Amino acid sequence: MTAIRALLVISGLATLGWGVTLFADWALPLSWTSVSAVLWLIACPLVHDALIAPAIGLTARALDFLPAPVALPAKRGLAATAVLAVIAFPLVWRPFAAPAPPGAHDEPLAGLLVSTAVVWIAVAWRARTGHSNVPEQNTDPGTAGG
Amino acid sequence: MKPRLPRESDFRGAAHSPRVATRVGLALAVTFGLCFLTGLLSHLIQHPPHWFTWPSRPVSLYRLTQGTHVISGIASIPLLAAKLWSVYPELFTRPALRSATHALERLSVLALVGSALFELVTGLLNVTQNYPWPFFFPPVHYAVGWIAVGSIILHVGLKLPVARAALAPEHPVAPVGTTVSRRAFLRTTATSTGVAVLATAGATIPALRHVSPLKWRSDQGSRGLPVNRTATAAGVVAAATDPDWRLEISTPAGTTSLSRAGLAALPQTTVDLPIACVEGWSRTATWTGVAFTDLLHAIGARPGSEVRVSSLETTGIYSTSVLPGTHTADPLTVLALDLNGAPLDLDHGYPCRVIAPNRPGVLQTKWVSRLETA
Repeated sequence: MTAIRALLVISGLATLGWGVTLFADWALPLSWTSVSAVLWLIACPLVHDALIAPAIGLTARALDFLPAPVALPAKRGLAATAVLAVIAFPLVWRPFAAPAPPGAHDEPLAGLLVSTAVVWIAVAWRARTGHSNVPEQNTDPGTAGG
Repeated sequence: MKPRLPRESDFRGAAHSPRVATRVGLALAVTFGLCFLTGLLSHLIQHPPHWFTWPSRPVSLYRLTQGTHVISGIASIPLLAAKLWSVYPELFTRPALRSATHALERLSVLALVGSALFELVTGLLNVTQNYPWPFFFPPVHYAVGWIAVGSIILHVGLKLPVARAALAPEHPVAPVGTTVSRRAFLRTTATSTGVAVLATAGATIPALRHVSPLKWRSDQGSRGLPVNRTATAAGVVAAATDPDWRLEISTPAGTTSLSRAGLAALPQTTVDLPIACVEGWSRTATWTGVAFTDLLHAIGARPGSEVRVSSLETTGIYSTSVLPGTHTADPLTVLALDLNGAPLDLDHGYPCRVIAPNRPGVLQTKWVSRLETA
């Protein structure tokens, strides 16, 4: 176990170091272009930790006030909707910066609406048929409610 | 009540148990691993070192690997979100640094989170060709990919005892506090991942083309085939439609010029081959033109020779490409004049373009103006 861990740590550090070398080769000497890439690298975790994760937590907490048979399907539906919105975002956000290549846009907003509608039809069906999860408490250690 | 930062103990949901973090982490290791290996392969094909040879068969191998690259990246989005949510309480651990090992661990997590999010965000924006940054995407995505994988390997090494304990059957019961059990959280993650894949995989999997509403390429391109770079964007319209256009073929013995009619007079070969884009979309089409084996024979060169291909497009890194010997010796490699039964249109590379089996789309050079053999 110790040997495996040591191997993983050393190879991880080596791989990471190689990535940093490649990045430095590209980024140096510093220019606005390379600084912008660094800023994106820093901004991604900051935006996640300060905005996205709290929003997830607060939304999940708010949905806890729904009746139990509805709460979980609603959370599941909202999670899937959020993922669809993230994937669709670059498509619906703005027109292409470059001349639009034919076949690039295929009604992405309609696609987002249709896929979201399918998700929520499934949510409604699950809530109505009572297949949702009531908290699984004191059943087995792997599925205990929480 | 005075507002305060959350404490680790405030997060009591089952989603934050080590078992959940480990299971989602395993899934993420698979998708990120696939993403990294297929991305590395694509990089090697486009920038081959001397020791690397990429075969021309099976014809759809690159379609498979690059489709896997993008779909596994898409699958990683909900998986990473779930993983980060499961370990989010650790952000509020106090004291922030307990030991050198703990400092290394936290540093590796910072590198992991930053690089993994960067890869998914930039990759997603790239497949839709939406670039809200000034840097050139491929070299940065490639370098940060190594940082992400290195951070993951390092993280696994540091967390191995925790992961092993979390997966052990005697793991203690998770805390109770919300309506979502561990199993429900994992199922929600799996469902969201499935939805994400199903919504986009039609970009590369023909059977899902009419199922995936958020695929980033449709059939609306001319001749039913998407176009990544138009003739207008490449600035080649005038040169490509010039009646005096000639294809120059340069060999050590001299230079030959052929008009489009001259190319059409040579033996014609029809092949069904996919265009497989680095952005993960792919489509099969029927191409007709002069096989490179016939073309090289016709000018006195040997099939299997490396051929440098130049485009009428004079700027950009994709204005030239090199067809390796493995591809020029393959009878399926064609200098295409027709697409799906009609002459090539401007956006698909008129007057002629390269179509070779098992190659990234960016190397299937359009608007060809010159071929050179060594």
